[in-house]
Amino acid sequence: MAMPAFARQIEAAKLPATRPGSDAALSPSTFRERGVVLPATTPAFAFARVRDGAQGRELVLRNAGGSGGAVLIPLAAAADYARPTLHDRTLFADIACLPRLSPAHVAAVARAAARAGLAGRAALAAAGMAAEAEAKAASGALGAILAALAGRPSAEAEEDPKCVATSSHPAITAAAAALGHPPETVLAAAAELAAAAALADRLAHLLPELRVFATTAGDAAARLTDAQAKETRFAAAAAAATAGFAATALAGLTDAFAAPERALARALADQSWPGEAVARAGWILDGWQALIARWHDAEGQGQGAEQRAFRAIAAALPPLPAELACTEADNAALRATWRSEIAAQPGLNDQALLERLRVAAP
Amino acid sequence: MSGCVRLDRRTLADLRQRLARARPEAIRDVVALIDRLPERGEADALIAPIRPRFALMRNVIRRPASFGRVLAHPIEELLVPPDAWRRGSLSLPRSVMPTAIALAAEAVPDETRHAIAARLDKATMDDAAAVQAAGAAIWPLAAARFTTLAAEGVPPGLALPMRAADLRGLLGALGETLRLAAPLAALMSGTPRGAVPVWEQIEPRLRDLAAMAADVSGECFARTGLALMRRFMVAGPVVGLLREAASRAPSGEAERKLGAALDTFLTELPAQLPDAAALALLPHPVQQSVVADAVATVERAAGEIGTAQGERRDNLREGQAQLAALLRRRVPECLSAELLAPLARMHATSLDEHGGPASLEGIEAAARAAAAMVNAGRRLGPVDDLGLALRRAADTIAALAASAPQGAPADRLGRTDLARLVEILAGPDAAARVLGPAL
Repeated sequence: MAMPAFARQIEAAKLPATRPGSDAALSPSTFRERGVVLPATTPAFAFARVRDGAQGRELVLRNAGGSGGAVLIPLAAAADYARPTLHDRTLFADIACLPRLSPAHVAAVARAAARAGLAGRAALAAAGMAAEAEAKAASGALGAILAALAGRPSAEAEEDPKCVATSSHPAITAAAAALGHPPETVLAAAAELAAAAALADRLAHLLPELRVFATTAGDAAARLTDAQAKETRFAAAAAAATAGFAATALAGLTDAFAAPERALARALADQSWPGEAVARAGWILDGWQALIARWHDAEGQGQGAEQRAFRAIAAALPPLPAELACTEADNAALRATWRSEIAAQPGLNDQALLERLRVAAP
Repeated sequence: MSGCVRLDRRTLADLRQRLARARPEAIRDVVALIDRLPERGEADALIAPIRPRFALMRNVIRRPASFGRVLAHPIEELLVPPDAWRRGSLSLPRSVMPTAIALAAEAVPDETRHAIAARLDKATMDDAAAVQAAGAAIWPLAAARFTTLAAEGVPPGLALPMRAADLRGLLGALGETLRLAAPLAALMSGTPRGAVPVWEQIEPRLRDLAAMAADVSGECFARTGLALMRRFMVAGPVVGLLREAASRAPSGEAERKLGAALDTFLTELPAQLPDAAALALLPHPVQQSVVADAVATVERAAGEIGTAQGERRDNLREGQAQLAALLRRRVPECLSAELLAPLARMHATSLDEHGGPASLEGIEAAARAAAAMVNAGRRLGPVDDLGLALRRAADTIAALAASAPQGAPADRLGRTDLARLVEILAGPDAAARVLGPAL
């Protein structure tokens, strides 16, 4: 792969740690290779991805300095590349300390930075509300599981599970007896199951929006000439493919969560389930919340504003890795999210996208 | 009861002054009220001075579609306030429009007019399909009528807004330009002001339109070119594109007329730029983008039109000077009245007494706008004084931080809030010093 202009500039500036990205950054085999979308607020790092590389934790920058392709820089050397905002200094320091990377881990770190007020009061409030909503959803899901285990109608799940979710709860003791595990273990598994169900539900809410975006972008592309429609068509195809893979990943979970007793038995038998399955859906949809919010900002603001949004989204969207493909059709679908070379464009300096990242990150 | 509004001079002057200082939402209500009047009379004069702001307030003010607005839609970029218009200009004084609308209405059969009124009922000018459908019935008839009147003279007994010869000339110009009304209107509807279009997306359409205009006539090419420059100079090399189209035109008329369009563009550039008072009333993010667009327009005009001719150079310099003066008025005002003053009040009491955390976001928006305006100004030339104003504001905020509680407490302005403001004004390194070693 030809060395991007920026990498050459960096070399000239004696920053040997920076190097051109491999093709894997743009057409990855695994999610680990692709990395997690970084909710950074510094323009230079907007929609960068962070991953564990051969030489340690590193950032994947696309369109760095207006060049095509990708550039890799060690996370520890990020400040040598561009002056990070206060928020990003904390974010980078905390990400450097994470034992492993996943969208959920990075989101937790971003939320902590937002709750410290480093991304502003709107982000602080959004982080607080998101945490509250998550806790409420998990609590509601736990209530529903307990109600189902007790054989009560789901309407009775409204009672505050905090009051009843103890290992001595009749539903827990009954389930413990039936499943052959101590009540404490069953309660812990039920709580984890509830948290996973709440997260899966939250991710599922993004799917209709993603599909609407894909259709709208597809329609917009159809009104343009081939040369004009390149980015818009790419954004539409990538959104459709992402929605398809996410729907598949979430469908199995939704079915499983519909039968809480069986789900609990499965969770007790397989400690990686449902955490890994939900995490996988999280990887697939990583970054799209902010991208969709960016689209909503531009919607109805005129063709120019909408085209800018499509370009910004096309430039920023994370590729899906080959590991998702089970069939030839899957393989073709996920390749819709790949671009080996992205033309230099101002997409990543998109102020509206940065604002969305700032507030949507929590 | 007559729907026609009559106001005495003092009331009119007072209302005008109050409207000039009004926030977009208040203007929206007044404009909506005036738009509902069957005969607007002097009320129309009320909104004349704030008309240039309408385009910047598209999200707030959505004007109802009407016969007159549809007629004017393709040539909106050419309309200038009557007192800014000079004989010989390729622009059209807005005062010609009432007469033009009346004459165009006469050219449209009653049945068609009723159908147009039904199609436009409850539609706004944002409804491109309604505008295009009504326009398709209006523009060709209006163009033909104006061309005839320009050749044969205006009907006797018509109340003239200007000298008959001037009016005939302007009607002729309108007639020529409206021959391209449909593609011009479609382009303008798709690329409203306030959202800079992506150049690669619009370039083919501009190229086609310029070629079509050159084929129609030199007059049509000059005015279409002027409209395109005003709307799209900010987006890309529109002058180069017009030069290409002119060079391909069979006669040399298009090339000659392009020179006149460039002259008009530069002569009237200062009048097209925002003024500080109007700018101050817009939301901060809009102020930021209005200034960035104005600077980009002036920058591109300097690069594309060239300043070899003395008069063009002088006009361009006047535009640059006006923009710099605008920044020298707006930025300090923004820093003192919209950032430091409310911040000091908030610091002295509590967040809740001053609108809560949301108002802090508003103060951040003011800081961001001030910093962005100074950055935009740097592209015009040295603005050391404005840079110094930003640093002083940052120093003042850093001083407040010394007595502020740590973090971002729910009810108080915290050190983190102040550090963020310093970050916006003076960068993250200065902000890190405000937070201290904790970060």
